[in-house]
Amino acid sequence: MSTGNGSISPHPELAADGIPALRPRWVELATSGNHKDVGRMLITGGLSFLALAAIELVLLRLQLAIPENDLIDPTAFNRLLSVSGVTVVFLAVLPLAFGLFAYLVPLQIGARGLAFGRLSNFSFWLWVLGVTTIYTTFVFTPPDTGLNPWPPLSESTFASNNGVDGWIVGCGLALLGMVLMAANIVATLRTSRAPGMAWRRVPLFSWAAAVCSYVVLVAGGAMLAAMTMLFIDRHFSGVFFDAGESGAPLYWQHLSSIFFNAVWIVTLLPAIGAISEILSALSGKPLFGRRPIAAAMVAIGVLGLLAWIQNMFTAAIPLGFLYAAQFAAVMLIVPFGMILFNWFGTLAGGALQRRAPLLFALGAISTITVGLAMNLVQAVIPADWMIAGTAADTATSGYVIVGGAVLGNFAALHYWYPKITGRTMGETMARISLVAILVGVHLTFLPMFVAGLDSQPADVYKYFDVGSLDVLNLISTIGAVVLAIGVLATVINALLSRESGARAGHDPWRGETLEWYALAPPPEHNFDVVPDIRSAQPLRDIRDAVTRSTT
Amino acid sequence: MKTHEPTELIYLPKPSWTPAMVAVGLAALLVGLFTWFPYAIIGGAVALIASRRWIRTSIAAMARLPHSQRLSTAPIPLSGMAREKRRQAA
Repeated sequence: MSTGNGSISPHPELAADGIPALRPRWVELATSGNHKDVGRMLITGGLSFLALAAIELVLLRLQLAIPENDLIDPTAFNRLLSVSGVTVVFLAVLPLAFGLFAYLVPLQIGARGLAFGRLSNFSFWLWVLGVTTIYTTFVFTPPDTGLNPWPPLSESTFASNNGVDGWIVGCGLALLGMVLMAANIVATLRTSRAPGMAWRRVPLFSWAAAVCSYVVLVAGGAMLAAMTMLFIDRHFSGVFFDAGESGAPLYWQHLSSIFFNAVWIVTLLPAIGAISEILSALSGKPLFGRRPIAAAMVAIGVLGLLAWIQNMFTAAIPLGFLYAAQFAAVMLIVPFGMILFNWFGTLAGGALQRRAPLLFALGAISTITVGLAMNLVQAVIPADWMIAGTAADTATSGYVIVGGAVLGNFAALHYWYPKITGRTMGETMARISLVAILVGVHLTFLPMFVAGLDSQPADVYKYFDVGSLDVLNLISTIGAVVLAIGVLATVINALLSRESGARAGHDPWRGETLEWYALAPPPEHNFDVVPDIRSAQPLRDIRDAVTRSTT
Repeated sequence: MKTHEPTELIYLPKPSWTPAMVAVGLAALLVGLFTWFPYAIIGGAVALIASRRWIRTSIAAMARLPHSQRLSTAPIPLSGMAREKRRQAA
């Protein structure tokens, strides 16, 4: 029998360090370097913290439901605000994205696992210890300087308690874990692709993983450097951000803006990669344009990083740099437009299966589009001067986060859940959750955007009954409750479906990428043998060849 | 051509506590810097010992395995799937 790259019938052998000992399941998981175990733990952790972030959003909104409310005291509000921001960015968005990458990238490219198995376990543990540090501070002194503790307010002169230190160490550990995971994914994509899996054939979700990983390697490194400098300033008499000693607080703004722009990219790109795969599989058509979408994702990664000054239009920066950032930020509309065009081209004339992954994908597309339209407004310098620091700023971020990290990741979860567990998620619960999230996101963030245009500052503890702010804030609070119900419904659905979901088989959507060739759930080594890769749709090739050989 | 030599060696590393211990040591080192310095010393020591163990086991594993190998792929149509399709057709 001839093979794809030789004349020998493939018969791989497993090599292990010894006979595996019988251990409890939790010990197996905690010590495993298998990409699927690490990926599943990160996905579970990310989903749990997404649910917690939704509950924290409800608490924050309850305080703002009516003018001059005293439900929560100001210090507790500031601490909750700081920790909820950290929860969304470091404990939900990043682990969800990298958990999905860790699980799916090796399967999609025909690899046996991540390039560095134990490093992936180390990344997971760094993230767990980061989470532990951040939430342990609640027992002592939680951080109260916001999601992004800008110097000089975070320097020891103005924040003498250990809250900021807890923020630096907790977020630093979690971020270091994700940076190492990014390095691992880049190494895997560069060295472990199956024979025939050229870059032009790599699935789009893995392209998204590649772009996100490179972006996190650059921007995560910048943020870790900023955190280290702030720690040195606070404890070892450093002057990096001390304007009186030749340092400058503006350095922090630059480094943190690079990172938060990267978070924006990591929020959107996994969703774009997943939606592309879902639209193709559930419309029964190949993607209208694979290469343009891959190129657009690379462009978003590059332009998104270059546009970091977009977050600093109100800072004292020479106008030339502001114009350059404005140009990069406005140019982002081109790759996004290209992606939308290709998605609609894929959907047109397709035999659509109206199942949960497709519905979540369509919900994500609509929500991301609204968020990007708002973001485009803020990319223009004079408009941003008026909007920056208002509730409209928060609303824009809210749309992008819910569109990308919530709806996009939920679409991915519903699509790949059968591969991870061998079962599908409950369809009715999925539809209820989707409707609640879509109603909730518009009820929460549209009135918030209008309140921002009405000059309500972002992140305030209290506001006065001026104009229509009371009505807008009340609607926004009701929306947050509906949104939280939607998020919790999907998390509960994922938990319950592990045992009670319908058995799915290994390829329930007739997908075209290699992960659908593996069993569900896949064995420890993923594939006994990897098929020949001759195109970007290896499963379609196999089906066609099988049909030809039997007719 | 038939051969009994495996066409590929799939290495599955044994589960290990060393990465977790390095992470715990590193976290204790950093937390100790702003809470109580002895935590930092203990954390640093744990991280160092665990890192040493991790490096030694990795070097030993690398020495046992081939430095590079070419993955063999299965031809299309895959025999199992074709058999199944024929069975369904019959």
